[in-house]
Amino acid sequence: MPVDKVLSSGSTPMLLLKLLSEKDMYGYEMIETLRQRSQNVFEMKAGTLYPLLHNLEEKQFLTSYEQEAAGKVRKYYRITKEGRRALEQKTDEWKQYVHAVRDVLGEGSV
Amino acid sequence: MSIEEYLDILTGQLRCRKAREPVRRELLWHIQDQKEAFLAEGMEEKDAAEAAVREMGDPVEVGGALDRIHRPKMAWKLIGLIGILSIAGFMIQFFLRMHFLGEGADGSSGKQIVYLLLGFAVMAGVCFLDYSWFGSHARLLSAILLLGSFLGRKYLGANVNGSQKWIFLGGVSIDISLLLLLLVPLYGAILYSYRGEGYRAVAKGILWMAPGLFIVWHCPSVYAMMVLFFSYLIVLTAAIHRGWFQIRRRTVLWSLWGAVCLFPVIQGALILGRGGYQAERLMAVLSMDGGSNYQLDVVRRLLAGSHWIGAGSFVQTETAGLFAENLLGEYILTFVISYYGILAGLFLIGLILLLLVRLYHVSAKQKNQLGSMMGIGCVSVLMLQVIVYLLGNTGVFLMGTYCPFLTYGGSGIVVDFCLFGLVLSIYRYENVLAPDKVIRKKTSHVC
Repeated sequence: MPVDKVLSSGSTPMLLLKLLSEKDMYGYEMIETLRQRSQNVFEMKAGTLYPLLHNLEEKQFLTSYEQEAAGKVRKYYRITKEGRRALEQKTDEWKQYVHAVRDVLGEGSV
Repeated sequence: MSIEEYLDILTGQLRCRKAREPVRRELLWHIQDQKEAFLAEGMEEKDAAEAAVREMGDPVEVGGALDRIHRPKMAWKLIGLIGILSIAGFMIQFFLRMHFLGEGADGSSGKQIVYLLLGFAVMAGVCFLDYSWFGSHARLLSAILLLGSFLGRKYLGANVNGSQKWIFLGGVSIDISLLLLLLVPLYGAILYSYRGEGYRAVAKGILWMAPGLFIVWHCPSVYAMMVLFFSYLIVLTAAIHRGWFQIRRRTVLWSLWGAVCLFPVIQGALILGRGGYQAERLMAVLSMDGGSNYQLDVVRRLLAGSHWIGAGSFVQTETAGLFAENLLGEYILTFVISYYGILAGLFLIGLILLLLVRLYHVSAKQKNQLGSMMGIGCVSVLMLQVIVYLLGNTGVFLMGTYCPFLTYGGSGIVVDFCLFGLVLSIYRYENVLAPDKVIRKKTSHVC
């Protein structure tokens, strides 16, 4: 499956916001978590991830800070109130979309 | 491609040089994590590094995408508002002076234009020189300001109408009671460097207030004393409130503000208990009895006689004319209200408050904590200047005052435009500078 194309369809920001709504994470951690949770379906490249994260930060959906953990400094991202609101909105839109696709394809086929 | 080469090409795409280092750092950490994962899978060192780089994606494309985000930006609306207020303030002062003092009574209008141009130049300079530079040199800059003011007063100072706040340097006179207000944003940066230091940080924060207040006290300038002291307090309160020092915030804030409120009460009680001249002076201030004071009395009569639109009754009397001859410069707002009407006064002050609210918004929403605190320092000073001025110009309180845009003079303009420039710089570099470093380990609430 051409995962990167699927990811660039606009659902990635939602997935990233979802991950960060659970805990603060750094970039590499997000890619790994996303891959594990999606059973290797979402294999995201760092080149896609960082512009997206920085963009979400510019929109004030995320904030970041540098912190040392286990001898390594990392840049962590944290979701903001605006970010949580955007996540809620995007999740609703996504549910509507899935519902619509299911309706078109016929009940139970998706 | 080696890791270094990759990062060089990628960060080379970022046109804003200041943005390169933070981006480079973050991506380097990512590549290192990826490389370690490959090494753990059994790859050779060199292969692991190359594979980690390959995983990153095209450096030009990624760099280009990041370049679109990490650009300095200009707060044009704010600059426009500052420009409009500067012109409006100048015109109002010019026309009022022309009406009450006669056209071209002195060369002050020409000088005011020079001051304003100087102010804009300073604002642009501070805006382009990123604020983190001021932040990282906060102690040194504070020391220079303090020492300069202290020694300046001693060796280059002069007594002007009983006030010793002026320094004369190469034909330029500088009002140090205004100049020292620049200490406040620097104070924010100093507190930033004390993050995670606990109660010691609060004690050091309070100590840092002392030298500036000491000099201003000896100027003497009650006005600058109030503005400086309360600006310091606001910044310290914001720093404690944000959990910078990891202390019991509520207790400390209650104690701090309790002490601040109690001090004048105790002081006042002692003075009143002793009786005599000082007690009478205090009583006069406390009773706010305009009748005992010529200035307050005229200001109140000017306001009482004003109309919603157009000149009021009292402003056209001889008493008002005489008052204007001496004190027009300090009571521009009062004269705007009494001569042009209450609406004009409200509009003018509304515009100034709008600017301050916008500046506060930029500072409070700033994600970089250093920038945010320096911005709050700037806005505190400006806000307190305006509040004290409003109290004076509405006849509530008698105090030598200064208001941005409405008071004549070079020192005030340069200082205020410097503060504007700092907030503009904070806005400008919002998407460029590195994020804050968290001092405390395993925290979920510091930044």
